[in-house]
Amino acid sequence: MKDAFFFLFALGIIALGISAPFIMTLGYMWASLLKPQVLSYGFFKSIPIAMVFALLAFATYALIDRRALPKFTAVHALLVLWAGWITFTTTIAQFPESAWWKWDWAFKEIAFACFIPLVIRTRVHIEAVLYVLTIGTVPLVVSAGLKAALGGGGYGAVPLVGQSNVGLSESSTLAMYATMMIVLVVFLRKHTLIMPRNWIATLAVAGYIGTCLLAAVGGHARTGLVTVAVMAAAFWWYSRYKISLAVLFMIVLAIGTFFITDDWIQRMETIRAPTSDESASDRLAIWGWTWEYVKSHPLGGGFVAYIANLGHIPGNDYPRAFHSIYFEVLGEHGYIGFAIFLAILLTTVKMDWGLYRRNRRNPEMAWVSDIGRALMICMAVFMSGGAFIGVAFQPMLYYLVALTISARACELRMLDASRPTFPQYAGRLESVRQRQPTTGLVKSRVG
Amino acid sequence: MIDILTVLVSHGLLAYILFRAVVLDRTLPWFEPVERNRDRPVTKEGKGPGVAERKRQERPRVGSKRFQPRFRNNPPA
Repeated sequence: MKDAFFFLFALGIIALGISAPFIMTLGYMWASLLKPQVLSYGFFKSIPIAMVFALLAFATYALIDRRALPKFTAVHALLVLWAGWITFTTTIAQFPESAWWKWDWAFKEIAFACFIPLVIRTRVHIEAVLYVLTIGTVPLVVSAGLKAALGGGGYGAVPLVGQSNVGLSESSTLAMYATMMIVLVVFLRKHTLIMPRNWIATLAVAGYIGTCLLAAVGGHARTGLVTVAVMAAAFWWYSRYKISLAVLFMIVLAIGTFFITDDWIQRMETIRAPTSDESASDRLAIWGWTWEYVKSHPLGGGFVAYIANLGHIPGNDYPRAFHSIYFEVLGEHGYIGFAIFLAILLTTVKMDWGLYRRNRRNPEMAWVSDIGRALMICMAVFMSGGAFIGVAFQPMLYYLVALTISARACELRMLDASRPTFPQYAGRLESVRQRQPTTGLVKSRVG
Repeated sequence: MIDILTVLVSHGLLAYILFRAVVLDRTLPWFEPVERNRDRPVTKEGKGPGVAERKRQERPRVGSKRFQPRFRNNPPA
């Protein structure tokens, strides 16, 4: 039944995508984030749905939609460089078989992030992407939040859909993603064109934010607490209503204390004393090992290089993953890879900051300013939460980067549209406009 | 039960959103010109007026729609 449902939904997307090619890209994002084939049990499991959507997106773009290329930005150049560098390090990987397996999906995500700004060009397109990110992952995020509320939560105790512990089905990754979705849904509530803005929408958004908070904190993942704290601080910093927001946060915190259990407090206290917790002290040991490893492998060990730490982490008889985007990139792609990755993060944040700063005083461009701010807060959440989980090649980062490029290109096109069609006559048009006030025209006619 | 319910509700909503996105993509202009950007005064530093300066500017008085004078556009003979 579930298979048939997902199959029909995918067919619907394809049917819509033939008339509007950007829908194919949304289909790819839906398949890539939700992984419907993991949620199904029958024939749909064997269909490589993400690949189908990717091929259709390329094909429809090339055949129907190839127009209005965005400006080539530094982030675009860095993404291309990043794709090239990870391919190079995979050719010299210490564990080639595993490395090529990870390269296969990581390269696809980066390549598709380069493609997204070609197709996602307008305000409606960008908004539709945000809806796919927020509504498309409801079966994971909201269901985790509801289960945490009904079952009390607990680390690994919330039965997530799919149960595969990969992608968004992993507790810490889900906590970080749920926090990001709060930021995006607040933006959508304010600026949406696609959905109506009425009291029903307000209630739905409030419910969504509540379940996202529960998913972030109820899973007992420490990453959730860190990301929620970063998000709250960023919201407060950029808010015009600092006192009201501080009061709101205090109310939410006061309500939250009724649901907090001793287990949760004990787990969160290990953030302050990491050596007292086995999981946290293992991470410190892995990061120490990675630092030494990269000294002897300055170009990195290629994808899945953490296998080399087998026997080096005390108390572990199996290799432990990096558990941090920074150490993941450093260990796998060396100093150069780390520099490129950091440049992508910082350039994206700078671009988001520019979108926010340039347009914040122009009411007509308020949505551009606000999406810049929302993406910047999402990047801050990713960069802080990612310090504790290895998600450097998960799609969410690359979607944020692609959305930043799209929003910047849209800003430039809106400004271009405001300029006169024939620049050679711009000065003349301006002088005509100045000489031709309404009263003057009337006077001359009367005279 | 929660899983099935969230899948059904979210995909129903998503279908509506995608359909509406296609309709809006067809009907709305892709890049609307920003008129105020063109008319905005620019200072020597290349920036627009600050918030404090803008507050001092006199705004044109426009009555609310509810209290529009009658016969405004079609005065009685």
